[in-house]
Amino acid sequence: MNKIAEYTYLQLYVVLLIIVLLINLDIMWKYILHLGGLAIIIGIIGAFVLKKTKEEKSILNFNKILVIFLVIFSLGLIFRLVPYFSNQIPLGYDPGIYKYIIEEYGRHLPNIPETELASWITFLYEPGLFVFTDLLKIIGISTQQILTYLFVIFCTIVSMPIYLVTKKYFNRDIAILAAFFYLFSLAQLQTFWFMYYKNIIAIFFLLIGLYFIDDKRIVPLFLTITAIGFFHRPTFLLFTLIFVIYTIVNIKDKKLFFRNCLTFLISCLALIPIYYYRFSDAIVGLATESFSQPGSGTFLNTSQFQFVTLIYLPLAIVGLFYLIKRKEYKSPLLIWFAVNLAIVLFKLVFYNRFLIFFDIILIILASAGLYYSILRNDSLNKWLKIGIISLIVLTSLFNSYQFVSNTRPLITDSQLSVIEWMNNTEDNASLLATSNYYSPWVLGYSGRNVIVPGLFDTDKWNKDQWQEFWSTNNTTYVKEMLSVYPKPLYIHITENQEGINRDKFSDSCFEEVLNANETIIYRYRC
Amino acid sequence: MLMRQLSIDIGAKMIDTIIFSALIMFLPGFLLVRFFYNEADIIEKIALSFGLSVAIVTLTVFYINFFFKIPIILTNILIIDFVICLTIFAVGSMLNRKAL
Repeated sequence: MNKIAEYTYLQLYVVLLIIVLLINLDIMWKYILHLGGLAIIIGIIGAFVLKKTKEEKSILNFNKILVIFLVIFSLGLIFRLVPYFSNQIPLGYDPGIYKYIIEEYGRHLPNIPETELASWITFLYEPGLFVFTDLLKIIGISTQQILTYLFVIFCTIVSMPIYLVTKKYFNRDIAILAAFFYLFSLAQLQTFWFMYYKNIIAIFFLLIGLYFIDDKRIVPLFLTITAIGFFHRPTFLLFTLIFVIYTIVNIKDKKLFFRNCLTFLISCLALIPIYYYRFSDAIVGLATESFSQPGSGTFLNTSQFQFVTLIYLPLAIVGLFYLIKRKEYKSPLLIWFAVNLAIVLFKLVFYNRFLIFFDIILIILASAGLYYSILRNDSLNKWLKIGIISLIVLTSLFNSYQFVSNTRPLITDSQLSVIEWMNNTEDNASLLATSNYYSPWVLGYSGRNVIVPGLFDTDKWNKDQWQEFWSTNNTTYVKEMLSVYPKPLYIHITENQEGINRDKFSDSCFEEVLNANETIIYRYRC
Repeated sequence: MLMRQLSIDIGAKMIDTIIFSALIMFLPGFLLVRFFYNEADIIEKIALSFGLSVAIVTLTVFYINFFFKIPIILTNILIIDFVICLTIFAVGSMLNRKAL
């Protein structure tokens, strides 16, 4: 029975890897089979393959581990640099917003502008990243470098705490596998593309926090918990849930219980000054909105996520069963998996964004699954093991290279240069951005006060009024709406924007000052 | 001549940035790891050094500016960094001696 399960598991897993490879080669259609279901079935079959393993020494010595780590780290770094070989524009939707806030903080140096910030910034953005970028700017790193090359380095360097945590809870062979899966995970490359800067740095702290979770010293854990709260609230929520559950299930260990309670209390006290001026926006406002209108958050949805994790999803299920079989119910990894799964499954706050964390725990479990079900399986031939590992490496590298080589920024150089042209206008000019797609770029790169319908604090009209504004050719109505904004006022429109009646701009109050690269900028003169 | 001077300036600026980056993003954490987690391997040490350094320095700079209004300028950052390193070194040495 066990032999049958073993062969079925291996054969099906190899077939799955080949299918994933063929899909990425465009030879097969990705919806031809319900691959997510197949991956879960393979994982469950794989659970039967697990044998009681006695604690054994690592297969590889540390020198080999170090060489492998250096190779995969360099490859991961190069893969993330590929989009910047022929382009200097940061990736994702948000770089314009990040640039704006980084420069806003920089403008207030040598102080931190806690009371001077617009409420949309204090509502959406924690201060941690921007205090950190202040330091980086002071030591000579430019905003452009922070948004491009430094982000590439931060994304790649997360492989180190993944190694750290995996080594602590399993061993260093599994840790190197986890670092590999992370560096070439499509979900993590998506995070890189979306430029979730705060998320990436907070993941670093989350992993270090898990490393210190049962440590007898208070200071490192205190620093890590405070840093998570300082950099990213959703990560803080996840870590708090893991930490609290871990502390409660280990209540028999009185020392650990009191130490954890004390550390958490001190960390919360340390967070008070950080959120002192922004409590109503950042905590009350966000909590109210999260519970009254829970959003999914911009990221892959669950079915897309299932597809991008196909390579290691079956292995993660095997890894999960490994922990259950060993009765490691109190393991922080198992708690992380359960909490994260609950958030995603029950569609709680920003559940799609929590897939980023879920991917990391899947990666850690998958590495354990691969190790115990295949690499440490004595009944398997050495060449079969090498073959499977090679197939995993080949498929992962091919998928991720294909992803990064097709990655482009959302805006072209010429479109950006039109936005940057606004820097030549009057210092006190305002710019009305008409498209949600371009508004973050306009905000970050125009160097002027930006008005965006529905976003930021400068918006003074509701959605219906703006819709009327776009569709009408009634210039009196348009002028009335524009009259509330400071002058001189410019309007940014792209030629492919739908639903905008341009007849109104033929009025003498509007002067076309720039028409280039499918973008028009009008100056409002009345 | 001008080009040569320019490249020397750029090179010197880059070296400055690398040294300051190491002081802010590596050294305080490295000292902490050196004293308290010396059994970790080099990959673990780099991860812990980077994470703890960013946490210590960024938080300290924030609190010092928040409570004492000390301006965030390069000299002050370096002094803060130096004090943090010195404190870790002193406490680490003291505790290690006690353990011996």
